[in-house]
Amino acid sequence: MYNSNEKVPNPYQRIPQGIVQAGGQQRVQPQQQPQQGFSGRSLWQNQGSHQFNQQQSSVLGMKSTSGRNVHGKQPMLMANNDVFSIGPYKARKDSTRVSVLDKYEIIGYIAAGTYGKVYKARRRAISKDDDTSIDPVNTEMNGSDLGGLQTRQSMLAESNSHPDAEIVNRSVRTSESEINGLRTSDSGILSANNTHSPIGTHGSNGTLTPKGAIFRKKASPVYYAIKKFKTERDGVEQTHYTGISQSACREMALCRELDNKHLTQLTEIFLERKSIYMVYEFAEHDLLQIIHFHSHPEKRMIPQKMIGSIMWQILDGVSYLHQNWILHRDLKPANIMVTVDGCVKVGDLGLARKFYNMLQTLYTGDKVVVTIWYRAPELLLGARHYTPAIDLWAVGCIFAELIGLQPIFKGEEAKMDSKKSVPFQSNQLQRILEVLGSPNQKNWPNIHKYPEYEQLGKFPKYRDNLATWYHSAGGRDKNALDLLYKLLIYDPTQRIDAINALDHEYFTSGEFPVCENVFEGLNYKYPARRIHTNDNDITNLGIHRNKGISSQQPAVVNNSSTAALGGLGVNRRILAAAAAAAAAVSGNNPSGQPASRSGEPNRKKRR
Amino acid sequence: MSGSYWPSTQRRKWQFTKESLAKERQKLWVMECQLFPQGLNIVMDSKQNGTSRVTTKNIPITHKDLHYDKDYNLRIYCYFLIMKLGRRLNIRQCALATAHVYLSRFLLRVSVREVNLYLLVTTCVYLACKVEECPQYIRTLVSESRSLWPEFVPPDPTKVTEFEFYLLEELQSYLVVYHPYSTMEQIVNVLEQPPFHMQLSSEDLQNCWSLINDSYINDAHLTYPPHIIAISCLFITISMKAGAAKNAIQNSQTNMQAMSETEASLAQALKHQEIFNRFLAESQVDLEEVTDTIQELISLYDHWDKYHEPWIKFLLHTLYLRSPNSTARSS
Repeated sequence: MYNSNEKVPNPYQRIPQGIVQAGGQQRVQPQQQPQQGFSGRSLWQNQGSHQFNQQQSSVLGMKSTSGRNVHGKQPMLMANNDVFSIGPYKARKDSTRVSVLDKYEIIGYIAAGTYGKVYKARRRAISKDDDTSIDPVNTEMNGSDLGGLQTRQSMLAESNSHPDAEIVNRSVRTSESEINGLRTSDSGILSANNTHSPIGTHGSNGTLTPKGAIFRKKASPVYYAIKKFKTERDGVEQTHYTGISQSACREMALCRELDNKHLTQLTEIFLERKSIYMVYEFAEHDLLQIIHFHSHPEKRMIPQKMIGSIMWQILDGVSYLHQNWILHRDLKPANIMVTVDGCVKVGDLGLARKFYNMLQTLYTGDKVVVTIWYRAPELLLGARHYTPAIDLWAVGCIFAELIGLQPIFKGEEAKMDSKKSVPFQSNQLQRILEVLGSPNQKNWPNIHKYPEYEQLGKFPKYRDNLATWYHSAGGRDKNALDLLYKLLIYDPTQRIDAINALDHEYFTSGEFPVCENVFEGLNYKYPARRIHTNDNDITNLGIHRNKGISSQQPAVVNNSSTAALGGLGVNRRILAAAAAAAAAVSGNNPSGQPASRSGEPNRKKRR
Repeated sequence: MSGSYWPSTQRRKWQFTKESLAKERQKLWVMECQLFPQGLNIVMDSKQNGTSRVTTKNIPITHKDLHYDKDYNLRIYCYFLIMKLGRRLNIRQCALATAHVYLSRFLLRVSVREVNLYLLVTTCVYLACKVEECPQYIRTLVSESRSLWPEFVPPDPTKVTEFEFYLLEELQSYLVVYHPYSTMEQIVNVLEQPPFHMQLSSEDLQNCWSLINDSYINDAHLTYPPHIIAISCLFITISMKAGAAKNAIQNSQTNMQAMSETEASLAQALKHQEIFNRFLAESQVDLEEVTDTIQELISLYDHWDKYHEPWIKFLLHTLYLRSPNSTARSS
């Protein structure tokens, strides 16, 4: 890239003076003379004549030779501001970065929460700039895959040398998918998006390699969900960087590694203007929305076959996670997406974490995990060490909710007191006991070892009512009831695991065969996601034009140390979910929330 | 993928062949030559006959100094920087190893001359701790790092969080890293089972662990999978023991009792060597990669003999620092 002087001049040269020093907060350093360019001076150092200094005397303990120490004390040598703020490097990177807005056209946002916002977007038609500039995050420059690299380079070279190809590109504005092919040398991503059969291939003159560069005349547009992690406070864009949160860090690290049909697929990540933008494939529906559709205005049961297919696909995604030593820790209907073609995708890995070779216990990292209604009994009893079984409990709760169209254990969350100790969730446990009966040493041999075991004595004794619950919810299938029982076993060591659940009679008996398209056979359509366009703050990237609006929003207690800390201690997302749950249960749902279509305690709560 | 190295991004995105690595390095080299054609001017004091003299020298950019791929002084120094900061904060070795991999990846694309190495080390440790789920308070981290390198680390923690973004970008947000430590433990476990029945002492394991630590200075983690590195380090550990036992025999020929003891330990060491060689032969591991890793580790220790910390410190000071006086005059 850099071996041709004419094509790529010194990257620093292109930067106007101001940008190089923009990050500086200390005193303004004298600027290097730009006209000198890269003709022979260090970027760090000042004028050559000023280099006679006492550096080495402090370094090597030699005697100082220059007579400048008039006051008799060694002046403290400090790195200059550019060194502190890595100015030159930043300038080089900033000048080549492609903005998320250059590549994607934002349609509107579909969800907002404490973590940030999720936008629906579509890829912009290809532009010349886009193709030739280097996007360091996106381009899959890959040393080990030399073949891929060469393919990509040759493709770039060819598209540069053939202006015709670009004209064709631009005329086919709707076909986003071929940009996929051009942009990513990774054929895996291409095939993932390759749901529409290619109609015709461009390249009568054979300019483009067949791999990844298939042109389609017309394809239905591909949408993306862009998750922007919140960095602004009080609506104003952050003026300085806060460390990326533990949650964003997890989501980035894990989503980069994972690849499964039943997990939301990450397309790329943008890091710009102090924010993280994660671009996912778009899913039109989620289970929360589907359940809501069936329960309003009056209850209409979800078809049995559809429930079976949904459950199987969830379990498949969860089993993939568990096989890869990942706990999801926030499974709930709102986090289970369904695409237009009826493919279930487990989403939101912001609370997920690896449980292999752990340096710290699970509890040390996050005191509270899983949204209250889906929280397993061992967590409610204060377990410090827990297992993937907590995810299976949540899957059981989702299963029950698909059947009964409302949360099976809709408890009220006890609020965190000021001392930040984790409160005992007695109401939630009560709800569980009412349906499943009181646990005892017989069905849960280790129950007395849990920190909150004593609390159980305060509850009245209940008998197992799950079968009654199931029949009153309209369920008729004994296999379904059996699977539900196995997912909601008290003892985490006896609870069915994801792999065994996939082999359960419920799926294998053939009564309700599992479909790849969960919507198969339906004669109605679920409503599409609501898109909010009133506050598309993403499009104002760096313009700061809504500073006035921000003052109307309530201030949020959020000092920089906790923000920078990320995931230490209690997870803020779970706290927000708790607040929402409390509001939902007491019936005064905060109004104006885009995600408050039902009473689920989710953290998609807008401040 | 978190479960296994094979489908991981470490293998798919960040593992190079020797050739592709050289190509990447060449790109950086060309860029460095373009950006810093003037090289580095250094000012040296020398004392001759009681009078001190100042000499200015220029280190041309083409000289190996301060090029991460060629300058082992710099590599070893980076290793110590990470270790020092890690020890201060009691950070687990695994997280430090991850930080070191981030550093090597970063310096594959970016010149030491355009970033602040000390800030980079701090940032790598900060991010690695988050990824390895043992997060550090940023203020604690920065203040520790500042107490180690006050001239280079700004008091403002947002400088680290800002750098974090650029680090993430350079890493293309591929953050999960696999290390040879757990692989080493797995192999040791297998060797304890039949048919091998080979019990390594805790001292051996400690040595092997240290060898793995040192391997991060090399390019091994950019070119080979963790199990190759684990096997190479085990091989060296076992061979060294046999070698040491042989030496001991030659040195203790007078004392009969010591003699029989060392003979016994030699016999055991040789048996270990034999068992391990058999394991290696049957394992279908790429032996060429193993020998290459061993070779590179051996040459690392050659470089280590020549390690000159004051020199690299001096170079970095000259590179990054300037005195307040010169600032005043130029303004």
